[in-house]
Amino acid sequence: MIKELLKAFEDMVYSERYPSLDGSLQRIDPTVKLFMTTIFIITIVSMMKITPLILLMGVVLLLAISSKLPLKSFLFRVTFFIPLFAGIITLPLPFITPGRALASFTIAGLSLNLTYEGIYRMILFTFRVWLSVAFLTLLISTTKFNDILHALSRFKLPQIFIMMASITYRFIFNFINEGYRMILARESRITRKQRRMEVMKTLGNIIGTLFIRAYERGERVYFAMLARGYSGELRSVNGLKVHVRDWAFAIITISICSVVIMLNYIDLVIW
Amino acid sequence: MHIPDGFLDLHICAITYLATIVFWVFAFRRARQVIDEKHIPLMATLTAMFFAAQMMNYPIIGGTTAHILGGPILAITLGPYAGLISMSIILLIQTFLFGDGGITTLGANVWNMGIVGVFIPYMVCLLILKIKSSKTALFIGVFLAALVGDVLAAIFAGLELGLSTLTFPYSVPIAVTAMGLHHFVIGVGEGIVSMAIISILLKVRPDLMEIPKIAPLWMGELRFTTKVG
Repeated sequence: MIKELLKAFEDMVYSERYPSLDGSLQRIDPTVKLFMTTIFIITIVSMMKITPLILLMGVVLLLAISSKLPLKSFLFRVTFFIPLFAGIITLPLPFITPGRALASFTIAGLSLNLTYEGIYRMILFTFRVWLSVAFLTLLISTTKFNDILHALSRFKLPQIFIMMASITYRFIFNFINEGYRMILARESRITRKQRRMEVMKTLGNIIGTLFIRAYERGERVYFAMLARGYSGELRSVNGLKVHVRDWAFAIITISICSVVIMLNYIDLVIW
Repeated sequence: MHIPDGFLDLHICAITYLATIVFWVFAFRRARQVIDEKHIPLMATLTAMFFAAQMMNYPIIGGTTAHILGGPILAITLGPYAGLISMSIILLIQTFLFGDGGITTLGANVWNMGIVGVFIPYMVCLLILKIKSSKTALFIGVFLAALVGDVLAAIFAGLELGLSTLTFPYSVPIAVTAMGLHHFVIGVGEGIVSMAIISILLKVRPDLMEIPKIAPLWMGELRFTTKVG
């Protein structure tokens, strides 16, 4: 339990390290970046062939390198967890999809056909998930969360939402720390392995206590904010401006996506 | 239960986004009427706390672990609209900080965990308390609410995956059974943890159970008076 909490915490700290590097994507306006990432992902999800996806893979690697992200850890972060999971759940596909048989086996009286179509579907699905995750990771590892919130507020989201989200973000670390301390204190007091039911009850107690602390902290935060001139409105100091390079980035993105979509529909590309 | 990008067809994403936006509009309209500026930092710290709570795991059958979704407890303590807003913030932060979830699937994820996983538990708990208003009924209500909420949210996730015929390789029955069965076990855990949370709240700060709930008017309000039990 503790190890996972620590790992999650570490991830968060690391994820805020790369946005301050001086790479190409870090200089793009977050609103433009968010919008263009969405366009890339929509394009990826609508692909039915592998060839255009390879082109997009080139794009994502190029962007990662020019943003000075360490390629090895970027690829590690992108490949493990979600795409790996996608790969595992599609493992039966080559055998259950009807189509041209490449090989057949008989295991325990069951005859299995390894089909070309099945392998193709497996690769397509996993590749699509991998690329989507890669683009999302690219966005979040070059943008601070506060900038993303700021970008979202330009899309006319309710002020209450933006304000609550930004306060929430500030206090997450605090509560993870507090929860971690409580679990550590608990584990240092027990001398035997706990039963499943006990662990769940303890967890409930910890969360209940955290709930009360969160409520009381919320009241204190409100008074602290009130003392500093809070009136229920959100004010931001860092004004974001859209530059020429942002327009250039947007135009390049849209042209790449149109080419890729065209590639998906012309018959010249079979794969 | 977070569905990542690339698992859902675009039209499923569009439909779930639209359905979610309808609820968002109502939730924020009601929130603007009810919430004063004092509630904003309060709800924000509670949201942050549930974000942290989601990282704590409990063991389930087979040596695997699960974590609570928090939707049922949010709904029961703050009301379903407030729960929806909190869950939306949690899912937004998870997507844009961890990469857990996706941009195109955010609508579907909010629909599953922030609407189904919040409104259904609230209604279940309301129903049970209407039948009988006692402390035992409250605990049974909380347990059932968490269990039903989790399973239904998972079934909706399975439906969305199964209906994505272009991208997701498995059909509706397979996806729904897999998600439903798995989350039945997780739901039992969520139920037990939720009961423990409610019991500690009742013991230490019973007044917190009486925070005004932000709920749709037609649903009526959950009332826990300290008289219960």
